Amino acid sequence: MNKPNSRERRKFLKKSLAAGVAVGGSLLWGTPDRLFAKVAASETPDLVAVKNGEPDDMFNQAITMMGGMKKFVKKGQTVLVKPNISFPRKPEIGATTNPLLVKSIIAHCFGAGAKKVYVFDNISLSSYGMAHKCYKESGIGEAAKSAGALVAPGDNEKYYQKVTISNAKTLVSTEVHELVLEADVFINVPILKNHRYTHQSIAMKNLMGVVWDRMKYHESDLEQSIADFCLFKTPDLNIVDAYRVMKRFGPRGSTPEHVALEKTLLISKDIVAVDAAASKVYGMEPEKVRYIRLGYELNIGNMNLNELNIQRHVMGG
Amino acid sequence: MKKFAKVLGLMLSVFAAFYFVNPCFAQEGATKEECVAKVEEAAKLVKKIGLQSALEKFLEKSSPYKWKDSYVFCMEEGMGKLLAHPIPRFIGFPMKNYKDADGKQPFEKVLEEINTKKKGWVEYYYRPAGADVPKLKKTYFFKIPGEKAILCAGYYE
Repeated sequence: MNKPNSRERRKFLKKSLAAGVAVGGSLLWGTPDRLFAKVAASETPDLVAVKNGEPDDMFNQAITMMGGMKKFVKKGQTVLVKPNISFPRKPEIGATTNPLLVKSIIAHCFGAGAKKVYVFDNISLSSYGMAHKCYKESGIGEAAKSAGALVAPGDNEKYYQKVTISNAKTLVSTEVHELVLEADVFINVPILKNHRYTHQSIAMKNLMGVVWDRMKYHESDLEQSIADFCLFKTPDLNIVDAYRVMKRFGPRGSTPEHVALEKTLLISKDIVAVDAAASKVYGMEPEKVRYIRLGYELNIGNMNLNELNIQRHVMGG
Repeated sequence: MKKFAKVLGLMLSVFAAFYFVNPCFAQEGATKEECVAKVEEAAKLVKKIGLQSALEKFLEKSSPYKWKDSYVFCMEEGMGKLLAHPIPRFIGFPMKNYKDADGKQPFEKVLEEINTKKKGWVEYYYRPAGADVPKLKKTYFFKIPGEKAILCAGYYE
């Protein structure tokens, strides 16, 4: 008899669980999630979605629903927080992670007992010496420092170490930032936005910012490379900033005219699940985003949202 | 006092004339006619000195094929691998896969039809260097006779 793989086991557990829970009630945004209400007391949700709040307030709510930051960060640990700081853009453009959210995450990490919290991103324009400008314009450099984090440099190859990725199809080897290899806890904080090559940039795509040679992704098969990297490393927690969602001219963006105020935050340990949920928020079915589909096929995570324990909360609702 | 005002007025006029006429100050954009002329001139250069030598000329710092806010670039047939472009890291990129700022693939059709439609125009959104907002760019393409290469130059509308 073949041993069931982890996805099959998970499916079985979910089905069994679902059978024991009263069926009914709407799962629409805007109503509390009653379907999983009984599960919440005994089991950490696979995914938490919070809507209609400010970025920091929504995170406070989401991490509480996820069981608190102590679930992810233990006393004395070193944490790496990886936002998207790719462009020298103000938060209103929706190209970079909201600084209020980054600040709140850092505060929670220290609250949980973290010894050190690092923040960094290998920005798209590193080679042009733009890193400083990106950290400044996005507001993330200041937010991170004010919360007590160390803003680490990512714009020099000396900070990166070569790794090989087993079972990768295109990204067989790459150079990864030392903090990804050394930190005890890795928290991925992407922003949900339009991307001209991949439809959307979310959590899996945000990991391009921890490798040195970003162009290597573009030169081969971008979407396969995005999925391949997740075979090497997936974050301990993914927090998707969908407060302002850029809908056109991504990933760099243009004007606030092309930004939708979604006021949503998603968190999950499962990087494929969080991308699938974010894709829905964006307005696209997850299976249409090739790297999400590849992530699912490679068994990195689950894009079938109906198989997940999702808890939703509407702020003030 | 009147004399001072007159001198000041004259100085301002001279400055304004210089500012708006001199291309260094006026920020004038390339025109449709210039794009066609530069591309066809570049094709003649290829015929005269060969493709490889011409590519080197296009890439020279003070190349006449880089003017105002435009430039001649060159790609191979097939996948549209860039052979010459003022941004060095773009060289080698397959333009068939290129997606514009709006996620469209403008060169896919151009490359597929290049042997029947040997010249024409293609439109796409491009972000000029330093610009916050992408602009609509109209690019003239021209297959070099006897070569498996295409020359292009565009202007912003």
